[in-house]
Amino acid sequence: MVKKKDDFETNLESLKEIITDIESGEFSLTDTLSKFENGVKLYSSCLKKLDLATKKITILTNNIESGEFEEKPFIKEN
Amino acid sequence: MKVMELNKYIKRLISYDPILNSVLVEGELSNFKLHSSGHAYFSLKDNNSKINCVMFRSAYSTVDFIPTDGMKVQISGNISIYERDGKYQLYADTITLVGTGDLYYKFQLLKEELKLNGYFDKSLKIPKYPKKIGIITSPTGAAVRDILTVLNRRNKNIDIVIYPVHVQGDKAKLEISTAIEYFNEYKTVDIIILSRGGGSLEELWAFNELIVAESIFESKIPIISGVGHETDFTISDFVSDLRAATPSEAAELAVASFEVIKKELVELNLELVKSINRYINFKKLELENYSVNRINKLINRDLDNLVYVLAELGKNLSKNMANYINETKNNLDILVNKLDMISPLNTLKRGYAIVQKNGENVVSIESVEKTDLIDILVENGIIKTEVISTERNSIYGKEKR
Repeated sequence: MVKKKDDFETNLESLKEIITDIESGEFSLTDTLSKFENGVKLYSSCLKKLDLATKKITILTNNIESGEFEEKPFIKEN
Repeated sequence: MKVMELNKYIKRLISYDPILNSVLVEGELSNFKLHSSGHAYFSLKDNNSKINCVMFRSAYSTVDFIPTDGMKVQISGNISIYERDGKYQLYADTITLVGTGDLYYKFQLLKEELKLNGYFDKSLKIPKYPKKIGIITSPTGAAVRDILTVLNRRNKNIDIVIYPVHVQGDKAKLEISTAIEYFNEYKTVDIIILSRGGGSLEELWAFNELIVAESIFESKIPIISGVGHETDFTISDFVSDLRAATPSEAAELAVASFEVIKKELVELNLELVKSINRYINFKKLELENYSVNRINKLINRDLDNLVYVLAELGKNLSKNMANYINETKNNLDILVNKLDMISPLNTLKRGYAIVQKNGENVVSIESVEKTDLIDILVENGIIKTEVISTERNSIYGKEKR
């Protein structure tokens, strides 16, 4: 299987797919169990991502020397 | 003097006149025509008089509204002669709308125009779980503060990048338009929020500019517009993929709340567990079906069934075959009998004969006369004879001879 992107939305979609697959009953016991295991992993990874506070707030500033934009931390006034 | 020389002379004369070189005229637009070359031709008139005007492409490209007949405008430019026709006209550098309610009028005009051209039909899907959001707004305004407050409350792991712009004044429209293009070029964000706090029509005007509308329309990244208060409608709101009444609402529309996502996730996990339980139950049932006892029972039943069906089939087959043969034989007999009965040969065999005259059967005494030659057909040949006499009702007449 091709490894999918490891982001929240993709993982959530994969989790939904796994549920549909298991519901269909079309897969062997071994496959189904490994799907289930994978589903549990996806769930905990999504949950972890959700709980993880990673938010960065930046502001684009024009670097006068290079003329390019740079992302710098945005410090809120007051 | 030639005509051409005369016109040239007049042109030169006019060009020396300081007033005609730089005029500011007010009047009503009429006969406005935009030529395919990009030059605009029209007249400017008031109640008593009118003058032909031309505006070349380079000047016309700076006009920020769509000129329409009947508009009250102010035109700056110079007067000159069009030598070929010997016509003097006003060469316009700028056109501006005049009069009260002018901005609102411009707004309505642009709105109609853009609506007609499908600018308001754009509706990109807003991603449900954005990773990064771009905000185009003033870094010092109330809008950015409101948006950040909502985003902080709702979600802890979505990155935010602010593209600082002026949200009013001359620079605003170009900066906003450039910002939208920047995000589209670098594709770093999943959603763009275009925002500013409330203000007067004049203060919000940058969001009613054609150039901003065009950038929003061209954007491949979904744009949520949150400009002003609930009651403020701007062109940007109409062109954007989603309109939020306020900056705060724009943030709410951009990011699902952390609690909602978490609830959804927990529900999915529940589904997962349920699905595996259902699968296992299903497999258990299936397994029961395959237990040895049940298989034996099933096989025995099936075998019995099969034997019975075969026996029945055999019985039916022999019965059917016998019936068929009998029936065919009977039918054949009946046919042969029928054939015998109707065969004339059979009749001749029994001593009857057929009388013919000239090959036709004779069935009555009227058919023959004395001395007629007739044939008598018997079983094994023909007797040729001659009629001696006829007698009605005597069937033994022939034997009398």
